Amino acid sequence: MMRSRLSRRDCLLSLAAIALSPITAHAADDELTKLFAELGAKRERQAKFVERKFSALLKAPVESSGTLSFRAPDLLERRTETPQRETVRIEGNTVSYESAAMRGGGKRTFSLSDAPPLAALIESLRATLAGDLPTLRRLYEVTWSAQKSGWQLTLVPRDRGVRDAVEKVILRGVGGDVSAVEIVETGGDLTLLQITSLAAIPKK
Amino acid sequence: MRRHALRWGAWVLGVLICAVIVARTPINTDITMFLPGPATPEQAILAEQLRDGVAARVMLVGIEASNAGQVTTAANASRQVAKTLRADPQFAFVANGDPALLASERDRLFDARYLLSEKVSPQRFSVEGLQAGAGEMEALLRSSAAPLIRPFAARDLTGELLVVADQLKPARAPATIDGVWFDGAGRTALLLAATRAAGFDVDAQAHAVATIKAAFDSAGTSALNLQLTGPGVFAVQSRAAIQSDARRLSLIAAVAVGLLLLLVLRSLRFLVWAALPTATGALAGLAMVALAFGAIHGITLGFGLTLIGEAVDYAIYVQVQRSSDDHNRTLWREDKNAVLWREDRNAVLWRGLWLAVLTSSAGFVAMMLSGFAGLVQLGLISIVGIAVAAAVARFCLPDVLRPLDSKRLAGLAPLARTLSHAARLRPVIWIAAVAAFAFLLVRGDRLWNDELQAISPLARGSGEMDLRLRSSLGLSDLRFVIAVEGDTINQALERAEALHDRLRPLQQSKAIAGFDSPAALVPSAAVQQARRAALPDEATLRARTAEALSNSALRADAFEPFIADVQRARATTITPDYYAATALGQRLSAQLVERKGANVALITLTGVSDAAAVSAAVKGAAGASFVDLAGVQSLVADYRVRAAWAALGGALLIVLILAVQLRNVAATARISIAVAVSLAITSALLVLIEGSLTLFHLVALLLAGGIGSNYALFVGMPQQEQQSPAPTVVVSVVLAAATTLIAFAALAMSVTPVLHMIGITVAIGAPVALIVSMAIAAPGAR
Repeated sequence: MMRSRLSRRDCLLSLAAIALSPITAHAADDELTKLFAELGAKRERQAKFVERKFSALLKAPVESSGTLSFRAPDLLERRTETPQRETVRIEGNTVSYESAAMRGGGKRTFSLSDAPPLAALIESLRATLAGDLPTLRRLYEVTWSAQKSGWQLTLVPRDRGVRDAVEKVILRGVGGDVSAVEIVETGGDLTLLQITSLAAIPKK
Repeated sequence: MRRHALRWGAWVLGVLICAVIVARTPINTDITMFLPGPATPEQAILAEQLRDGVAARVMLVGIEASNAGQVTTAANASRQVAKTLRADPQFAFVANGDPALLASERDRLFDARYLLSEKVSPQRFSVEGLQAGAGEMEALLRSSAAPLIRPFAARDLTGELLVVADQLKPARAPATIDGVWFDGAGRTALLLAATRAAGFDVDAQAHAVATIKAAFDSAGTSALNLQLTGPGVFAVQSRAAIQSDARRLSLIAAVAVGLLLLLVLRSLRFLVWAALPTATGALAGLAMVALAFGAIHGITLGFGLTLIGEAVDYAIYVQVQRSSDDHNRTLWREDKNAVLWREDRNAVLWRGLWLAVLTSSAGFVAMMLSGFAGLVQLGLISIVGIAVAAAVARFCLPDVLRPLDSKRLAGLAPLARTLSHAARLRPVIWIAAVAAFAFLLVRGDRLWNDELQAISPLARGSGEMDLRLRSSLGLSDLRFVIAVEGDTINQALERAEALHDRLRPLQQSKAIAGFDSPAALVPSAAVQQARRAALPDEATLRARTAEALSNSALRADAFEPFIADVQRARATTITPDYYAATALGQRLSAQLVERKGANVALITLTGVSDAAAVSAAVKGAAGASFVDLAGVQSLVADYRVRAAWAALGGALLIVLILAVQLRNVAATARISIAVAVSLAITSALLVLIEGSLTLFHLVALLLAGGIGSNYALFVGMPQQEQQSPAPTVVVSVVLAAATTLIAFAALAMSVTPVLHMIGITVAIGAPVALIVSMAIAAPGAR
């Protein structure tokens, strides 16, 4: 139900975008530049997250929660506390992954450049938090739109391999804060990430 | 008159037949023809890898962006070129890192996962095993990587795809930008394209190169730059280089030789007819090679054209030596015995010509007996070329050549007189000879350069770009290979599997970065059987899955595709054919060699930092041997030693022929010593100039020896006791040496190493042989 509402709204939005494109394209570009300057100004972030997954493989939507932290230019860490401890730490090109659920200790380290689709997925959040619009645009078709209170970014993967898995990523936020990430998978599964900022440390 | 008609009729017919044969024969540049035939199984593998291993079929394509802003353009061009090439049946596979292009590989590996995964065991498919698998799957589906796992998840509860991906992960992978491979600097998009045609099929390779260039032209922009390397590309380039060299340099040589002859003899008529034996000989030689081999090697072509330098000599001998005694009187007034040997002149000339052909051929026969396909070609074209040129000179030229006006040779009289006093140089020659022998002895084994690169028909320096692209792509450098032999392919695979456990510790200790075994793609029958046996039947698996997932967040009924896939795997067997028409199939066909008497699985190694450790680990493993492809050096050296013995045999044969034909010990000794001395001096000079000698220098020394023996023969043939060589003989030999020098000096300018080596060797050898012959071989020398 939620999905159909989303897509209908998207349809309307894109129709509007087409109709107004000569005027709004430029205006939207300005808004994007402004937004990313604002996002990039926050060098360090701490937040709580609640993530809900809707999948045909799951008996019921699962919920997990924990903390997210970001430090410019390229450190992103996600610590899941419930229901199982899991840590993903991405710094530069290196991903370390640790999970209690994995057999054999479940600790892995690998390079992002070895897994381009995963890199693309991670950059949807990391590049946004870093205010790095060129990286985001290299990986995604980026569309900005205004919301009642804030903004929304719709990211459509450029890479066909990524598009096979992910239809689009929608980020919402107010000012320099990201408050929600929605990942719409090509197969129909959906992930909703609610982010509550703990303390935004201003630029030194 | 009738005899004339017969001769010329035979000539015309012969030329026509030869021309038709040559015109229909393709030219190849298969480098392995100039590599020794394999003596051991290891060498056989080596030779096969060089000739037709997958490495010989792969072309590396780089699309370079001229500035950072063009990187996306380069990526797009890479995708477009890959798309074009994949649609072209010339290419067996094309890879550029684009996952979409690797879909068929990924699908096949995914479908075979239960037979490929080393983790498959009965325990893994028990309720506990499935529970653990489900826990992992749930964690993966909750992780950030979930969208990537999701498309396969329902079919792969136990996560076998990740296991297989881990097993087959290359030790080093190229960087990816915008979904396609790039070099480390991020400027050059990289593609791999393997042709279906063999690497030595130069016509097919040339066509493939043209196809790639056209694909780039229609995809690229002016901001992009195409780089193309690989054995096939090199073969095409070197063929073009050899052909253009042979054409250009033979033209230069022909014009220069013609000008010289015209200047000295001032007879356009002679010039025209002198080309007759030369051209006929070269054509006949090529035709014979075409008949014997079905193809003419580019190097043979280049070498054959150098016969100009030797064959034109016959025409000179006939023209100058058959001239009347007036010439001799003009040239050498103080000669009192001129009248006495006038009648003998023609007989002596024909005998000399006949002996010259015999002695030159002896050297080439030795070359042919060395068991080296390329050298057999060179020997054959030389013998046939020389014999035919001499025959045409003997039987056809006297009909058409007119005696020269005696005044024309008068200008050479001082030169002839000076050279006839060359005997005064004897002490100098002996000192030089002793010095040369001593120098060569002291140098010993350091005389030789046995690197493949030195004799490879490729022009120098073309390997650098290849090396760069190759290392960017993380391709195994193919220097180290483990060959695992078995009675059957299956046994070879079993033995390869046994090696995996010996190689893994080496990977951990960083002695090697990784290894690539065909058994990872096609496990042995026993291993496949064991894995199939570990998979439960449908009802059992369904019941266990339901039980395992009862307390999980995962829905059991969502994993029906998993149960179906496991059932399918229970009825599947993987053979090499399973990977047909994919990049993996290409790799396998290079790594599994099936032939009569030997079935070999080749394990390639990447990043070998400690070859001794690998050698030690492989030692004692059944059927396994560790091959260092740099060992091609010892192969070349082996062959070079054989060729040296053959050359020695040829030399002895020449002495024997001289002894039998001349029946004169003194003359035989003089001539043989003159040839030996001139070869020693030539070799020493060559080492000084070139730094070291290769196989091809050795072969060219045979040619120089053959030419030198002709000079020594004409100068040293006993005519009358204590008689100095006739002035006409001296003049003809000087002219012959001059034309030889010109022709081979032109060849020495070639950028193709082989042609350069032959050219410089003979260009030094001819004048040295002339001086030495005049000093030592002449009978009347005081």
